[in-house]
Amino acid sequence: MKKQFDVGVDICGVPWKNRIAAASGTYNFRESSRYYDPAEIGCITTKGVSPEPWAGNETPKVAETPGGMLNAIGLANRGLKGYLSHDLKPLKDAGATVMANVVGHTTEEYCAVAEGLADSDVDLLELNISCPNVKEGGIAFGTDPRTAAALVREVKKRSGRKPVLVKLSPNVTSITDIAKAVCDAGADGLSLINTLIGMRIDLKTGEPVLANGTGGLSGPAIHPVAIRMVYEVRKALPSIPIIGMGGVMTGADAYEFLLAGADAVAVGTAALLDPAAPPRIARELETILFDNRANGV
Amino acid sequence: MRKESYAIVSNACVADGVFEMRIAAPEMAAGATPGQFVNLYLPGGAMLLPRPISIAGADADEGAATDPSAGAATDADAGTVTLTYAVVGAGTAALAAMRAGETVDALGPLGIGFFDYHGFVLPRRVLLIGGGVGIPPLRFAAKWLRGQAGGGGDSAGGAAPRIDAFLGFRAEPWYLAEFEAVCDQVHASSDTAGAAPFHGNVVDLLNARCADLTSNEPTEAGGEPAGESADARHSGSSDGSAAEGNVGSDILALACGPRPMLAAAAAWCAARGIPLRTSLEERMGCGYGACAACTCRMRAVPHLPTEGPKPQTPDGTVRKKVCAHGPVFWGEEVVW
Repeated sequence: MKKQFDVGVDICGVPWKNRIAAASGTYNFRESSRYYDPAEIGCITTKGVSPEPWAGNETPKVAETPGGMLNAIGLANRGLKGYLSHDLKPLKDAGATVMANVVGHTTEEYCAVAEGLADSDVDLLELNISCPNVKEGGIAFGTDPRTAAALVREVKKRSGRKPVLVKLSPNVTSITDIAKAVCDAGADGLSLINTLIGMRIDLKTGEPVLANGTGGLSGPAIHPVAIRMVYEVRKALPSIPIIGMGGVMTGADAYEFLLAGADAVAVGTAALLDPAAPPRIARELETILFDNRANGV
Repeated sequence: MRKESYAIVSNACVADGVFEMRIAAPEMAAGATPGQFVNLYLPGGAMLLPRPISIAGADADEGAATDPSAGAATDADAGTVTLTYAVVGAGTAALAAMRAGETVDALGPLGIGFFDYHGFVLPRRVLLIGGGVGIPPLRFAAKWLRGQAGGGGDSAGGAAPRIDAFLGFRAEPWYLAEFEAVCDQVHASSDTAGAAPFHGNVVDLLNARCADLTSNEPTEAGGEPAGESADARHSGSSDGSAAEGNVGSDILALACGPRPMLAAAAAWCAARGIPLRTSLEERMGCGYGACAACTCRMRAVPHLPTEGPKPQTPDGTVRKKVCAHGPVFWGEEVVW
């Protein structure tokens, strides 16, 4: 008999009203709140925030691929100070549960953001050690278990009582090795997966389509990769909270993540293709969970 | 607003590689302003990203056909939105293969249009500067201006502006009849000798037809002097003169087309003190402001009513999203 799931869930002591989150980099309060109330879904993960503003990469920053897309946005953001007033405050005022995606070029930068958020209203931190689109930081911290663990230990000293989840990269030989290392170092939960590094070349010019050269692949094309990785990490770490993500377009896709071992599921690319996708997927998942309960599956 | 399925009323080739799709979308038609765009989504699930297509016409259910001078609005146009696009790749080819009677998923209207700025009132004269597939949104702008003149309802009121169109084509011109219906003068140029009355690009055409133009032409009514204070312009006073409302100029230029053409048009307008509203194109992800894929570098222009963030960097520039802070920006704002 398959496991039964409640509609709501507790992630590291933070109650979510349902198991669907907006994935980092796909929610912008000013624009997205025109399409749905951020309190309708379990959690809003905000775009990567660094201590000072980052400009991001040059265009083109996106390219289409069959069943997916490449992006190399480069973590453009307005910095911690702007984040607190422009992103976090309106979301908390709207009653949303908020997870801040934290980025940096160095350990010190990650720690500065964690410290700046420790006394804020944010509910959870998501340490982004897996962004493939910045020259320093990001994925550089996420491909070696010792480096990743060292960063988590430092951030945990500065993050106060905020739970710290770590967002893992699929661009590694063994994601379970990294997962175990960061959990041993004190991570409270895991988000997986970030994008897969990819590239497209313009047939006319012979040059990469993206100005950054490479980009991160997301969308339905990566869903089976993400399912496999969540399944493996869950087997290795039976009790750590896991937020699964990768190509979720429907409630059924999200349910598959729960069956693989995730506690909650984040929706990213689908929200870029339909601004109201996260609450739609939450409703679809709710229907699946109710039906399973009614049928005693 | 939300992503919805719309019935395709027609989808026809209007020029070599250029198609015009009309969708039945009364609410979208009623809400759209010139310069805005619509996200079209492709069927099949392999090509995920929306194709942002500028609006070439929006005929509301009522009123569109009441003024014969406002162009060829017919019963068939009522409640439709016209989207004109060039076939440039597999996605737009898939759009071109769609047929009347099928449905297409769309989200819109999106973005900030030509006249969507604080303090806009009808100018005395409008220059439309268009190139290639950038021409269709200018047609909507001209038609909208004609509909606004003379007041009534929620129109901007005031006298009808004189509208001169300068349209550049690579080969044979198209859409000229549509422009002639709503403009005072239409000038066409072509890169192909003999295809249009003028051989050359659209800036050459501007130089040939109105090189001496400046922002404040002497008019019978007497133009307001340029350089009104920012306070006066931002007062939002609807009884101010056109010059006050339109950032100190009797003339307003609108441009849409390839980026080199837009840069040249911006320089041409700047040299004459003519404010320019220019529509930019950039490869987009979401098209509604969530992903920040389509940012372009902008500079501070404190004397103009702009959208989006203020520059924070030492060089005085800031990146703005073409989809949400534009696609229409002031020519002076863009770091070309």
